[in-house]
Amino acid sequence: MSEPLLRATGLHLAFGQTKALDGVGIEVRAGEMVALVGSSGSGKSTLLHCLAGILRPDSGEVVYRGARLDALSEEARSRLRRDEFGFVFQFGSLVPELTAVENVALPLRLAGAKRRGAEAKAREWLERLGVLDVAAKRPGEMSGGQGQRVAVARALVAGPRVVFADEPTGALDSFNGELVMEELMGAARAQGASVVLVTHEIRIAAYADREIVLRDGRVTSPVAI
Amino acid sequence: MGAFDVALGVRLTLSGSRVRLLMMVGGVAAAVALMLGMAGALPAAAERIGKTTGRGVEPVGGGEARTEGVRARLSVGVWRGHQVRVLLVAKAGSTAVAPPGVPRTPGQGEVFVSPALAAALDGPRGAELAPRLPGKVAGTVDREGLVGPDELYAIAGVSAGALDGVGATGEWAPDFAKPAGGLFAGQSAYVDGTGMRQSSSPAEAMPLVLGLAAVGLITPLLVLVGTSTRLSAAARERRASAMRLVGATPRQLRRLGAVEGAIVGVLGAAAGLALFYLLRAPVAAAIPIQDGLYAGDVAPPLGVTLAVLLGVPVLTTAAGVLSLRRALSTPLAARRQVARSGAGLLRLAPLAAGLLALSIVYADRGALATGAFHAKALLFGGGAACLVGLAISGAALSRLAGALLARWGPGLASQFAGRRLLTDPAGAARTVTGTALVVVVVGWLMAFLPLLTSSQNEGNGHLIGVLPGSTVVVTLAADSDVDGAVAGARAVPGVTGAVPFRDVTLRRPGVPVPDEMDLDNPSVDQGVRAVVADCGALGTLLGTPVPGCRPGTVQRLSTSEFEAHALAGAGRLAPDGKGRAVPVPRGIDTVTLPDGLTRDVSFGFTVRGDLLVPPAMLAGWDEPGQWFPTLLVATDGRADTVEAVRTSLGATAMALPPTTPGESAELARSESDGYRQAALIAALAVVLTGGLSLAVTTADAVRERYRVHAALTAMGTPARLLRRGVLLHTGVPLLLNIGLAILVTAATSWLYVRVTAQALAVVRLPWAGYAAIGAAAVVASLLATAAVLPFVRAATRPDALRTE
Repeated sequence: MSEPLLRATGLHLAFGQTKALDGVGIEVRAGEMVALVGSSGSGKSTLLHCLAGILRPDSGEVVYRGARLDALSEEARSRLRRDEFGFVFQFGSLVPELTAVENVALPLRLAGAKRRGAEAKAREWLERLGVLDVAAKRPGEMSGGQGQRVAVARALVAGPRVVFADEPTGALDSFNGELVMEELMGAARAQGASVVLVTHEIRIAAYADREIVLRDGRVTSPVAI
Repeated sequence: MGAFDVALGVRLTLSGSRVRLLMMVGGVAAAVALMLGMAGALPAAAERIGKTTGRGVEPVGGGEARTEGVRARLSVGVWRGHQVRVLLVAKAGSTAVAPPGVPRTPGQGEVFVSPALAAALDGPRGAELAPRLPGKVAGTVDREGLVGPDELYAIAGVSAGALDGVGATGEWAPDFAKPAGGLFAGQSAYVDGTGMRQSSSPAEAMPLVLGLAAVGLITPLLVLVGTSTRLSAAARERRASAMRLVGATPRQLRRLGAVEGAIVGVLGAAAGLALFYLLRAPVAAAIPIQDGLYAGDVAPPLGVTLAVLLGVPVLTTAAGVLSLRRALSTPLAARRQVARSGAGLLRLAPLAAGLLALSIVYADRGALATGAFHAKALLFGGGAACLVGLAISGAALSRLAGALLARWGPGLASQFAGRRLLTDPAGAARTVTGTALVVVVVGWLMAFLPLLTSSQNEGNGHLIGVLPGSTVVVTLAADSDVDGAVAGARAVPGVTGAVPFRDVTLRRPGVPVPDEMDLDNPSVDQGVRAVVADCGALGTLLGTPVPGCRPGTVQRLSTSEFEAHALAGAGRLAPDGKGRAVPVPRGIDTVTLPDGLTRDVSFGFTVRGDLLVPPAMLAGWDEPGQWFPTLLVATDGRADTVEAVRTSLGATAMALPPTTPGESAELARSESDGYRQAALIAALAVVLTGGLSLAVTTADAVRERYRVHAALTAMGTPARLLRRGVLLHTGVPLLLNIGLAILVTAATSWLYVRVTAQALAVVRLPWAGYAAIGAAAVVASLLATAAVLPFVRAATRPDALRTE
């Protein structure tokens, strides 16, 4: 079996007196879809942030492609997130002043791509996800579902190895939520990207290859599908 | 107002974000402190004017001449770049009056000095100063008699004869001047920077000018109050909308908004009052104003203070209600973030038309100099159009800047900033437009105040460029020992020459001196005006021979109204027809002194007459002339040499203390320079206020967008890119508007001076001041960004992404 792309072992993290993670460990292989499931306050978002290098655990280690993420400087982790990871958040977190195509082109521009080329590629992704008609619109002028699909396009445009999705359907109705998940998972599989998904909905978790259940900051049940 | 509404309003205000409340109260407090400072500036200016104009005696009306009382004259000299002012006083009889700041009138040979002058006398260069005072130090001048804590000022008792000269009244006055309320000081008490008594007082215009400036300067402060109160408007709007959805009435929401606004206003006003009194002393000590500033002089009138303390809470209460107007109209007001309508580019039309008009005026500036009507109309019309344009085009300018940044700006930061400016150009411009208008008004004040306050007397400024820059011009009293003064000056190391000038009227021996009544009678022999000086020595001093000079020979001066042949027949002439006679040669020729030396000026040094007589021909003549002997002392340019020359003259040159032409011009300008300084300080304070407003609104905007910033950070966006975006969004509108304001001010001022150039006025456009305002705008922008950085860092913390 190949080395895991991303591995966390013995993660501990506390916010003040509250233990968010209490000795958590997981592995994600290349191309794998993993769902982190649990109720509110179980530590799933905190775990996702540690895996993505956004948060540093108090103890334990996170290894990505053989390198310890927690040992890197903030600048190095920032570069890693820019070049290797993609993100989808619950509320989209699109830049409200930029149009859809500009939002999608953002990761490419951050990596140094010229504007014209980046926006051309962004348009391809918008078309692929069926939202090319909102290319010139700003987030405030789109529906929730359209906004999340734009966010998915933004997460995938730079060809990341891992996509981190934190409650991507949390603010959507069930129809739009399933639409977004199909687009996300389908596009990620086509690119060979791994997906780490945080959700509290079982039907959304079903899109993943594997579920990891968290409770009170601990892994209680990794269930392979 | 229901008790529940008030209690809920208090609860919502105090239990909400502490940071936001602190920012709101802080913004209001800063505005209140600045308003009180501005309001205190008028009394401070009045105090300075009052003390300056009080340095003289009460005007003496017609009627029987008094035989006792006081006479006084202010003598203003220079020491190491500082003005040294000495009030020379003489007392007759048993009068018990005293000048302001001292317990009694000093007797002859006594000098009262200011604390700063006392310290200078005790300092390492005190030996330079002491001989210049006409007496020994006998006491101190207290604050009541001083313009500022750093003033070098003395009150010296002298004999009545020492006051017979330029500027001092001949009659005995009953008391020293007591000007009624500095800004309304009477004309007759007005003395300018050189100590010369002026016939017209600019102080009449000061209340209007300073009042207009104070009203204008309030504009950005009110904007700061308004923006501070509107912090987190979007979040509060959403809260208000949510409350409407559950049944709150518009009236109840207004009450809640009013309570929040009132709390912010009351706390802010109280904090502002405390801030003003805390900072008054250190700021007064730091302000770079001539002679310093007494903190206690910056005292806002009680009425104004009460108006501010009561008015600001009223203002913030209204702002609190107004900030909810969208939620008041519909419960769904804040559902979607729809871009606000951008200001149309048509709003740029007045500004563009104004700048075009000014360009035409510049292209046709020849017509302007002749006062052509069309040129003046374009100038004033263009200036007015620019002012209106600046007032209404702020949002359009921001939108234009946003479009340019987003399309052509380098990098993502430009795109972020540009897009934000396009989305809400009005918000970006709101805090800056008021500041830009005030910069124009204050810029005009800085440029035009000298035209209002310019002295008819420009001292010896006309000699700049005529004499070498380090030449000291010494005007002695009429009965001074000129030869002794020349010898003393020549003995100073570093002096390269000393040329005395004296005036005398020469007449045929036996011809009586005409009565005063006959002075203009053409049938009476008025004699010939002669200047006793060595043109050869003058040429050496100037570094170039004087055209036509024949040393040792009586010559006709080119300024004489007599033709050479008329003077040739004069024969032998003697001073006032008595004593040693001077032969006027038959073949008299003409010597031409440099134009600058012969220019007809009111009070400066000028050489005008009919004949130039070599000193050797009147050697031993020591009668006082009609005018004041003057020495031109050439030096090696070192400050030590110039000071040594002044010291060598001691107190003999008290009539008009020795100065270089540059120093003399500076003294003549010094009072208007003071007002210009004050206007610059006010402008800088205003620009920094604009920056503070920007910082407050930008920090608030960053806080409101914390999710976006946190998401961008999660995606790997470098923090410096986000900071650069904030800097561009903050700085571009500020720099654009202020830059245009300075351009408009400079262009209109420069063109206006061309139209109304007054030959006697000393007018310098304050280019350095304009540059300072531009620099202050940059600093304000940087400060605004720096102030926001902590919020950017906090807003990009991963905690912000947590959804549980």
